Amino acid sequence: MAQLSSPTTDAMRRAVGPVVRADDVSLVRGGVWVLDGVTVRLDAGQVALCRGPNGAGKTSLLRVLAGLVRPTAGSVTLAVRQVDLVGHEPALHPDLTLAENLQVVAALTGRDHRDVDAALTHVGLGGAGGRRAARCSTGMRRRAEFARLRLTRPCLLLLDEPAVALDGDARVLVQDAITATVRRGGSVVVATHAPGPLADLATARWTVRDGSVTT
Amino acid sequence: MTADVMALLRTELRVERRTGGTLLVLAPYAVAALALVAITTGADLPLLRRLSPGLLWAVVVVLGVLTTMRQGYAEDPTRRDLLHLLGMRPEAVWIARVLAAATLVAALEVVLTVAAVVLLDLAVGDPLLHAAAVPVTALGLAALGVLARDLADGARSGVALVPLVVVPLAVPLALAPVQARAVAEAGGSGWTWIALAALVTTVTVGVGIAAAANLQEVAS
Repeated sequence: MAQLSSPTTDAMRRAVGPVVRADDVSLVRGGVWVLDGVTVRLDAGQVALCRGPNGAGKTSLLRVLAGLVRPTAGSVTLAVRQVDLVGHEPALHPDLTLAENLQVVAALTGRDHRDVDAALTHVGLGGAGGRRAARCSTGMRRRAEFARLRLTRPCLLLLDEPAVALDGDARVLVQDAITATVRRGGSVVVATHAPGPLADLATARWTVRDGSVTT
Repeated sequence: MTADVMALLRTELRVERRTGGTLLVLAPYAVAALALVAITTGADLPLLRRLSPGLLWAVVVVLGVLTTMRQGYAEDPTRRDLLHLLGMRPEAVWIARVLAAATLVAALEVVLTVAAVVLLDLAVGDPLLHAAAVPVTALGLAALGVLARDLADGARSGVALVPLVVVPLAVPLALAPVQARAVAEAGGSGWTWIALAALVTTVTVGVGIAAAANLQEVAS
């Protein structure tokens, strides 16, 4: 798989400036230092592969970068507004159908039901839009998360163990989402234990251990 | 912001229509509670008439706050995070949650009023006063319940904190319509009591909106 960057384009991207930057960020939760003095920067078009053992702070880092959690110390600067995070739990209401769940997103992003249908079709759920999320398999719910990215079109995409529950065919969706974000000039952070083919897309590597990040 | 609130409100009501958590589950229990009182007082209609306004609003308060504990769209931290990422302000999310709960509580109040008239021989009194009490108390109870739930989500003490917040503010909301009716029946103006309920509602909604961003972060 071809890398999405080259030394020349990397230099250009750095000239444009970071999509997201964390400066000396620390996060305390329940008296525990979840993140400790983290400084990272992600430029337009970059894909960062974030690795580390369970409980190292990967998910917390993604949530801080997304602006969902205010750091205890330090600062996070987001240069873009369209941010999306695909986390461990799908953001779907179990009693709504897959289409209805995506219609919430469509309504808040100025899109309509045709975009929802197209997004579901794109991820192979064209015939399952009317099915309640509670009655879908974990893999189908995961696919629906990737359908959402067709609606939100993020400039900063944060993926937390994105390949979990996806079968071989569906794993292409992860790569598609990353490639599409980079082509839009956005950036991606992928937190995973098993990067597999995603490692080839990475232009930066972060290692998280005990709340600290080495780049 | 209004469009965002309306979009989320529609979603919350769609969830309720799908699950029927309030009107199909809570309302029958509430009606059963009123029927039980009617049965236990036997044929003592004067006693029933005296008790009925207080009973009605006591049941409304208990079940009204319970209504806000349902599993709505924006009650889950993951979905609330999504709303945040979609650019929806915490204040807008909070308002939509309260409006959705208030709609359900108001519907519950209407159902229970009809049940109280039939089962407890409730005399509604001034219909305008009662009609005003329904939305004011529904909004107040909804705001109170959502606020209490947010505090409970973020607090280490969990749901144990809820009664401490709910009870002091729920009392005037339950008392106001009962007293308004009693005062009006005695020839006075019951609107002062409705104004008190409106004041409590306004303060609760104001506190909730002001604290929405912090509450959302604490809960996440």
